[in-house]
Formats: sequence, structure tokens, C-alpha cells
Amino acid sequence: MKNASLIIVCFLLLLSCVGEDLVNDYVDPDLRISNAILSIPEGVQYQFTARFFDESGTKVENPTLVWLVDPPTALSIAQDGTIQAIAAGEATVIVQTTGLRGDIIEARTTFSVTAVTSTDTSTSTSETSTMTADSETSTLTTDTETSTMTTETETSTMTTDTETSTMTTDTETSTMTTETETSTMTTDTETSTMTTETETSTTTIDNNTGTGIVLAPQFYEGEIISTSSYILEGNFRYEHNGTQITLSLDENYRASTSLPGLYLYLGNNPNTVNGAIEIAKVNVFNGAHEYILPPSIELADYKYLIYWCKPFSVPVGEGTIF
Amino acid sequence: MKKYITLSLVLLAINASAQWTQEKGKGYYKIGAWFLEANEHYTDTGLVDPNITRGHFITSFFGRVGLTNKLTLIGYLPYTQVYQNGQRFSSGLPSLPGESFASLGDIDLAVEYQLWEKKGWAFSTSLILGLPTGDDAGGSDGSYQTGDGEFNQSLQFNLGKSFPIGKQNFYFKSNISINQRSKGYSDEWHFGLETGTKIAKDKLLLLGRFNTRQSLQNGSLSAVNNNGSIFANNVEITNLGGEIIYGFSKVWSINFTGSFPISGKVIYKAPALAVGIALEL
Repeated sequence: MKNASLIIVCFLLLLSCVGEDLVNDYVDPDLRISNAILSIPEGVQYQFTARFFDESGTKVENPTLVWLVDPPTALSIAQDGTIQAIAAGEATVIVQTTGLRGDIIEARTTFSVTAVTSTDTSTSTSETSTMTADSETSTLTTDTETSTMTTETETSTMTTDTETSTMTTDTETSTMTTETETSTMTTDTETSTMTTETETSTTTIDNNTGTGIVLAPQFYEGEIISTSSYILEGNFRYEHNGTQITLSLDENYRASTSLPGLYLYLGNNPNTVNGAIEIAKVNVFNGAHEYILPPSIELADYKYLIYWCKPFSVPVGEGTIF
Repeated sequence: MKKYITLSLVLLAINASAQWTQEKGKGYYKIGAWFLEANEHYTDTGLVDPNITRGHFITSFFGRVGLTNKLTLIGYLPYTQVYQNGQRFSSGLPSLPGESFASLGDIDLAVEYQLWEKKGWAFSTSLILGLPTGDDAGGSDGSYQTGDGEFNQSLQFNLGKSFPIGKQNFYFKSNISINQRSKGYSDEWHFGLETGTKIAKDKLLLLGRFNTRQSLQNGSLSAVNNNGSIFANNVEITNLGGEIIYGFSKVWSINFTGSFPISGKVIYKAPALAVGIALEL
């Protein structure tokens, strides 16, 4: 009896302790350019920014970055990421940093440096308009500060020699405003056709700076995949509307209703929610639905959607945003 | 899942002495410890997925008393601890601490009535009531359940036979039951087989078991309408096990039990081990 009791006590002591699990959560470090563009006019400046996430997916504050351009004839670049567009053509900006293991980690973005094509005044109410220049190079003097023109938003080809000229685009009809009374505008051909494609446009003009820079698309699309034996699938769209991000799940989304305690997170490490941000408890298991994210979340902040089972503390699915 | 653990334990205990009911005025009392720790689980499709290690540790009192020669009263009183291990990350992220929650578990009360006994055969029936005395939302996220919060009733039929093989005496038991559950949980059916024999001058009882529990999939509870605590719904498990009981006096015995899952759904995949000390008066 005494021995038996002793055995039981030893058994209890041996087995009732809370231990510790080792979680292999390593991810490749990720350096990302957070404000990519599609094009920039010659002569215009733009500052790129980059964010570095280490092997745990944690954002590194103030990383040491090295900025490069290719080819050097297309751009000049300062070490704060500011470029100066020099010559028309394709250009690549490269940013590099050093990882914890001493390896070089880099990110690239390629875009167009565009030449200006414009005319003194051209106003159009149709989707297609023809702009004619009297000569290949013309000097334009504007009596008024505002002239009207039509711009093809994806491939705007207006260039200006003056840094102070600004162009703003609304939709089909845009308004060009020059802050100097005289600017020089060059067209590649004497006659060019400009077409407005607002219905299918996937780019935006940088209205804040009005420099004619075409920003990269402000949305990503992807697919949710199950990383477990539970059913979890569907397509998603992750879009910034200028104010905040909307995560929209497609009609083909479905998740197992047997998933206990399923939550959605945004994170930079799909292996853990340590450091991730909790979006919501999942209450929809079939069909289209959406989440409106807090305005503080920017498009390049998080790389993964993480579907997480809280009771088992395991990821059950993920979607790679970019 | 915790309810399953609790119920399985009491059924295991009940089965161990079923069919042949307790004599009037006599009793069997056991203090036991039951332990399961798992780092993987069966999903709803029956496949196996990993999880952060979780454990269940139940200390319990089990007793059965013969009210008459044919009617036995059975009770099971568990105290359940649920815990999860802390997490240390290979990337160097700060560790996350573990968590533990303990409370009274779901109490089971049962009566067993002997319907028939003749020529080594015994046939009985049991009514088992599962009382929702445990916590169905324990811990920081409500998932450290020590009970499922529902009242259930299980009707069980037991058939046993003792028989010799050569000079060695054996017994064989079987049971089948329907467990009716409330609050939207699916009902279940259970089936079990057991055989055993005594050796070492009858001081050592060796027995083997087969148990299965299957859901009727008729519950309305799911992740859609539940706050995430659905471990105990549509749980299925089939396991093989064994027990060694050593009688070190005429009234005292100690037992060691092991149960090993061979298939399941929405339940941890890990062996369950138990030890107990029993008094038979």
C-alpha cells in the first residue's frame, strides 16, 4: 500500500508539468520596396522606401540599406532612396541589406522612365483624342494657368523640362496646370493618339505630388491554401482604397466547420502568430465576404494571411499576399 | 474532447467491472490518475495534423456500491487539469509561456442492473448520466475545457462470459451503448470488447480491450454557431488497450492502464495512461 501510493505520487509529479515546445518558425528574411511605381517622367524625383523583415518575420527598424540603380544612365539615386529620372527607358532600382547570417538580401523594382508627349491645348470629350504638335519640339506659353488635355493613364508620355509643372488627372479628362508661365513640351511624333482607358485602369496617378508618377497597383490578389488536413480554400483580393485596406474573399472560399477556434491574422511569418495582428474570429465558412482592416495597416506591412486554430495553436491555412 | 476523455475513463472503469454486478452492501473504490499528452491530433477527415503539445491530467475518484445483488450504483468524480506547453521559437522570437487550467470535471453517475446471469453468462444494462459540472470555457481563450457544458445520458448493454481454456480461466465482456447528448452535440454509439485472465496465483489480472466511439453526426453544433469550443462534437475514436491489476492484499490492488488510438476524428492522437489504487470491501 505504501509503495503503491509512492508510485502514484511519483507518477503525478512526473507527468503533470507544463513543458516547452520548440517551434521551427524560421522564414527567409524579406526586404521589400513598399512604394513601387510603374513609371516616372524624366526629370522628376521620387523617394523609394523599403522595409526589412528578419528571419522571424519581425520588422527591423532603421535597417542599413544600400540603394543602386540599373542602368546608371537612366537614374541617379541617393542613399535615402530618392531617385532622379534622367533618361527615358526601362530602369531598375535595387536595394540591399545584410541579413543576420551575413548574406546580402536585396529587392528590385523595375519601371519606365518616360518622355513627355503633349500639346499646347487639346480638349476632348471622347475616349480617343488626337493631339497634334506643330513641331517635334515646341515651346508652349500658357496665358492661363490651366489647360485641359486627355491622358492615357497607363502610358502617359508627357515630359516637361521644368520641375515646377504639374499635371493632375481626374478620369477621362485631365487638367494640366503649369506653375510657370512657360514650359517646354516635346512630342516624339508630330501626331500622337491618346486614349483614355479608365474602365480597365489598374494604375493610379500620384495625385498627392502631381508629378506624373504612375504608382504600382494598390491591390494584390491571391489564393488561400490549406496547410493542414482541414478544408480551407478560396481566392482573395487585398486592396487599398486610399483610406484603408479591404480584404475580400471570393465566392469560392470555403473552410471546414469542424475547425475549432479559427482566427484570421495578418503576419510576416506563416508559422506563428507571434508578432502577427489578429483580424477577426472566423465566422464565415462558405462564400464571399470581406474584412475592413484598420487604417493604420499599409499595403506592404504584411505578407501573409494566416488562418490559425487557437485551441491547437497551429496554422491551418495561409494566403500569400505578395 | 475533454468530455470524451472523462466519459471514456468512466466507461473504462465501469466496463472493468461490468456484467457481474456488485453484491449487496459491497463496494469497489478507486483513486486514479489519468494522463494524456499529445502533439498531434486527428482532424475532421481522420488525417493527423500536428499541434502545440497539450495535456490532460485527471485525478479521480471512482466507486461502485451494490444496492442489491442486482442493482449497483456507480459514481465518477474527476478533477481535471488541462495545459498547453510554452513555445520557444527557432527564429529567436521571444518565447510564449504555457498555460494551465484546472477545475472539477464532468461528474458521471450510473446505475447498473443485472438482467440475467446463468452458466457463466451475465447480461446487464447501465444508465449513465453525464453531469455538466466541468468548465466548458476555461483558460485564457476558452479552449481549456474540463467539461463540455452539456447533460448527456448513455444507455448501455453489457454481456459477459467466463470460460476456461485448459486450466486457465478467462472472461470475455462486450458492451454497446447509445449516448444521447444535448445542446446541439451529436449523439454517439459506443462499442467495447474486453478479455482477461488471472495469473501468478490470481494476484495479477491481465486484460485487453478494444473500444470504439462513433458519432451519429446528427448534432447542430459546429464552428458556425459555436464560439469555437467544439472539441467535444463529432468526436470519434477507436483504440486498443490493456490493463494490469496487481492485488497486493485481499482488499487492495493497484492497476496500470494504457489505451492506444488507432483511428479517430477531432481528437488528440496519443496514448492515454492511467494508474490507480483500489479498495474492494
